[in-house]
Amino acid sequence: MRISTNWIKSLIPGLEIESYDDLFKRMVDIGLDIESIESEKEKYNKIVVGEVLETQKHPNADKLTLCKVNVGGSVLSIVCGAPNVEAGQKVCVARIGALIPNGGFEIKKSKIRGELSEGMICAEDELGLSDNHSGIMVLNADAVPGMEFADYTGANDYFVEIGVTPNRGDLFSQIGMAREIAGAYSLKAVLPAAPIKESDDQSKDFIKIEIESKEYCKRFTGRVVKNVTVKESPEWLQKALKAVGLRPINNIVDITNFVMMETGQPLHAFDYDKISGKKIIIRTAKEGDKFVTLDSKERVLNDKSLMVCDGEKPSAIAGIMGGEFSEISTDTKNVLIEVAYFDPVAIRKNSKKLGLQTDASQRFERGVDIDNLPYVSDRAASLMQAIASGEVLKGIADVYPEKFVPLEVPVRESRVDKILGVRISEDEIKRMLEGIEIKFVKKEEDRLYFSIPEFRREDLQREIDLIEETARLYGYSNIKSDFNFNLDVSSHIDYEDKYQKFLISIREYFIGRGFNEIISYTQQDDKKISGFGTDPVIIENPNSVLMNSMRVNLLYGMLTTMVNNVNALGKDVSLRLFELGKTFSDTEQKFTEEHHVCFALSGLDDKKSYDLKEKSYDVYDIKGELEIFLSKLNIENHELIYYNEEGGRDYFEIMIKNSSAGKLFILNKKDNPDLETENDVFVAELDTYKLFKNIKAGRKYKEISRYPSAKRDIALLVKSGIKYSDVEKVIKESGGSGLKKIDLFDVFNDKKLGEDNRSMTFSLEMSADDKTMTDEEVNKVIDKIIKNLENKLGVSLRAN
Amino acid sequence: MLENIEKLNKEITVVSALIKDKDSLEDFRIKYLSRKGLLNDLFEDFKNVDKTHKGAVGKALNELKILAQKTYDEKQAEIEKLTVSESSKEDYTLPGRKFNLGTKHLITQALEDISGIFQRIGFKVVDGQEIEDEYHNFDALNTPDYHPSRDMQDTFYLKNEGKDKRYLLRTHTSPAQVHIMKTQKPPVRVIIPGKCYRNEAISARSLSMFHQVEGLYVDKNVTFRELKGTLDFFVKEFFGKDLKTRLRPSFFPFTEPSAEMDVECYLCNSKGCRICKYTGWLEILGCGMVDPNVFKHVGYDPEEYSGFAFGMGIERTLMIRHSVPDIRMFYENDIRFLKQF
Repeated sequence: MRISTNWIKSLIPGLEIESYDDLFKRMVDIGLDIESIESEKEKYNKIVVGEVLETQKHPNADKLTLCKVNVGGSVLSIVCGAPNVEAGQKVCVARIGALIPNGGFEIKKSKIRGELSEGMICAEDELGLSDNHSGIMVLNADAVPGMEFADYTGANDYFVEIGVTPNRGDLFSQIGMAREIAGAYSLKAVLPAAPIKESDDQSKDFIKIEIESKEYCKRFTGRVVKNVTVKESPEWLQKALKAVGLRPINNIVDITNFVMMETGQPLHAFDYDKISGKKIIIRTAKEGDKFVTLDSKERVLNDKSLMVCDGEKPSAIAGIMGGEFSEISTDTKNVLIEVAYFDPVAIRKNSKKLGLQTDASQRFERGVDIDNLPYVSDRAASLMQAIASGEVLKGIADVYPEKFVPLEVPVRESRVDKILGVRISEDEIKRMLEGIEIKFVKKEEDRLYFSIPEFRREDLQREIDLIEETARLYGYSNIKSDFNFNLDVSSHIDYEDKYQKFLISIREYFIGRGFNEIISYTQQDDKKISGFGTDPVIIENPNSVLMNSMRVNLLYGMLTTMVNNVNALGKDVSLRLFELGKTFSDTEQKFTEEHHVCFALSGLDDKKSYDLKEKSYDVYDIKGELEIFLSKLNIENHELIYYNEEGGRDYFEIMIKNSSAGKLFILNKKDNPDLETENDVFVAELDTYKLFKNIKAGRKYKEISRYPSAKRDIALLVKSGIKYSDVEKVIKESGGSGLKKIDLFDVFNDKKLGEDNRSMTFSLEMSADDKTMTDEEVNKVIDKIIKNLENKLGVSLRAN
Repeated sequence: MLENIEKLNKEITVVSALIKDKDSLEDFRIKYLSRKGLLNDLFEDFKNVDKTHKGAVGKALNELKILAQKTYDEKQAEIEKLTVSESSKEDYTLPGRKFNLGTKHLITQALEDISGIFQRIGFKVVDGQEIEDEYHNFDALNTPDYHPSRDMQDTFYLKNEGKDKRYLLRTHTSPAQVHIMKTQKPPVRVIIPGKCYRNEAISARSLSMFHQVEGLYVDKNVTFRELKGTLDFFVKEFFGKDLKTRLRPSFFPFTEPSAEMDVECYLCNSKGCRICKYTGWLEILGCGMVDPNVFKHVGYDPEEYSGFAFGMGIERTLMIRHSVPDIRMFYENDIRFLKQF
């Protein structure tokens, strides 16, 4: 909401503003959220009154004039293009450095067709005063050269943009703001008088009002003004509307807008002669009815759309927008002024349904002052008489079926203390609330009853609402802070502290392993995340098709991040990234959220140095990371099951205790043409809650053998088709309890070994808990291993 | 004479500590031990000392000379040792092998930091759901359907085929308050960090996803004064200094009285700058006393209990604190950005 401080001042008799900074501070203190302040005077910075001393034709241009202009203390040379410039005129001069209000360009010293120009003589449009660009603006003869133009025009207004919270519909008006500001100065805001010379004819004889939808329309007033002259509004009215950000249209429409801005009550002016049957009926439309609003758009109505109709047809969408047919035009002679109270919820529903929000609907849906309707009607009629020479008919046709009972709300001093922690006396509470027109009515027991003014009906209904008003008026800064509460918390609730700590420990772990944490968008493109076997949660109203669903895994966000980094840094980048976050799925009856951890490698191995061979990450790096991670969590019984989808991606199912806890993906351009990076990407993603549940709690000490262990290396010839895991399994089974460690330290292919055969060299470590193993005992174990390998797998010792 | 010897004695002790290399050792020799050095000058003067004092002065002078020579010899040995090891075959100036440095995302750092501050004063960290139903996100928080306050937050609704009610992406962390209060009796003291969503146009200043930290404290006798005290403590801990704060009256449907909290602009020391829009203040959070209607929804008696709640957006505060120019940088995850923090 935009206010003009001059307009506000006119509504608060006795207000002297000594300092505007002080005014703005008081406004902030009472909760007016100032978003911006514009000074009218600053707009005219370096624009002054000048006197044209002499003029001369420009030697090189027919339409230009060279002027000498006295700007008080100095004489400037100015080249002027206006046809009406003459010596002796008082004019408005923008000096060097001035910003032209309309257009914002800066005046610079320049040469125009070879002649020096040290400023500009302004036309009205350049000053933002009108659209007139027919010539320069000629000022009154008594204007003093050198005087600031702002002072000459009395431009001392401030335009303040204030954020209005949804509870304060009353602040969508100058009077509402004025009431608040008046309170801060211990003054009262007053609406201007609305004097009318009424004719003998009665409004109610010229218009019949009938409310069919009493539920939605609580009061409706109509007043007829005859023989108006529709024309441009006078300057003061245009200026007032512009000050609060509205565009002047014609005097009748401008008056309705002005009165709405002043009082917060929307009103509508109909062309009386277009109202058939001289009758107004307020009723709902039928589903599918069509209506053309004054913006020339056809609207499709529904059975909840409240309409203001004449004897035959709808004339306006109640409280939202008027119709094109009955709109005020230059031919309008007679006017019907509508001032009404429509139910806030009804207006809001209809406005939402029609997708049409207007200055009027915004105010109605927050609630207007039902008591003030006759005044608003008077005010508009009075202005139409003064400005449009209208003949105002006597009285108002006023239909008010069920009079509102004023709200009375109680406050207890003890309750104020309980919420605020401050003792504020009853007298003090009364004094403060009465300052903003909330009147004390009576006291019953410990309750003070206050009568709520109609303009705050929607906002002040409960004791707590008045406590807030009390706190606000008392000043938040006057409430001392305290920090002295007991630290007990209910202990009967499982806050899952351990799980929260677990998540933090995972994060710390990956950071320790040299991973960079990322946070990626949870909203993604459903096309990109299909094919993971999970139905995504779809957003009904996404703000972009690229973000129309919730992620089903962290994988896709990880890939996007990888691609972006490779694109930014080149393919030699080394990426170790991880993310902890939620994934979402739509499982018929409900939506499910899971916590996941995702870690990934891509590009060059970060273990690089001038003396290390450069290599790219491969699948064994991610497998290694996964294995270390699971061993850090002390999770046993895990295995990887490899899947190679035809034409799809390669991945491993990560099984913990025979149930899937996640996946490990190998992604490369060859098999995944959609992958937007040349670098292979290795990604593991696990369900952290499943990990948490599988952690073996309560570790027990394992005996550390005091006896030295024996090491033996064996080099094996492994025939094609036999996997490492097969070999390892046989060694493990054959080695028995004495075999402590199996370490594969070399693998290679060689033609000499035979096509597709591999050599694997193991280092085996053996020890007993109660003695030193003899050579004989060690050899016995080795022999058994070799024999079993030979028998079960056909794996033999490799001959050098 | 004795005084001069004493003075020089002290000076040598002090100066010896400054001998670090060959050059400074040579300077020391020239100043004290050379033919034109200070010691030689003293020996010259010694010739003029009268007989009665010669014994004492001579002794002191000899001790001084021994000290100077000893200092010189010891330092020479030390420096030679250094010189030898530096000239060994290894080139220790080659860079060390550095592997990737793991980093915590700036937002996570802030969330953990804030949670930690409140944990120290008895708050429990709770994780809320990101998908909520309309009741928990709005109605139970005193934001009925068709009330203008629903417009304060542009909401993403979810396609809910087969579901019994309307679901949405939470627009704030506040619905977690409702879940918590429904499952326990006061005292409640929780902090809820997490992602929230609002249907806003994407720009350098706003995104449809952001992080918020919510706090809630309900007990008997919790007043606006505790709200102020708690938040002042938070500001002091989080910003690491005693920044001035102020509360401005505001409106949230689920608190009353409500306030916005500002801290003095630490970028310009509240003189007024572009970032604080020349007000000298930075807005950091919204807060207030829990509205009695919220208590009614969760089955608490508002006559018996009172409480406060607050919620703060993380991204905006971090952008200001770390001069991050574009909010999207938090989620683009360029490693050159991640590694800076």
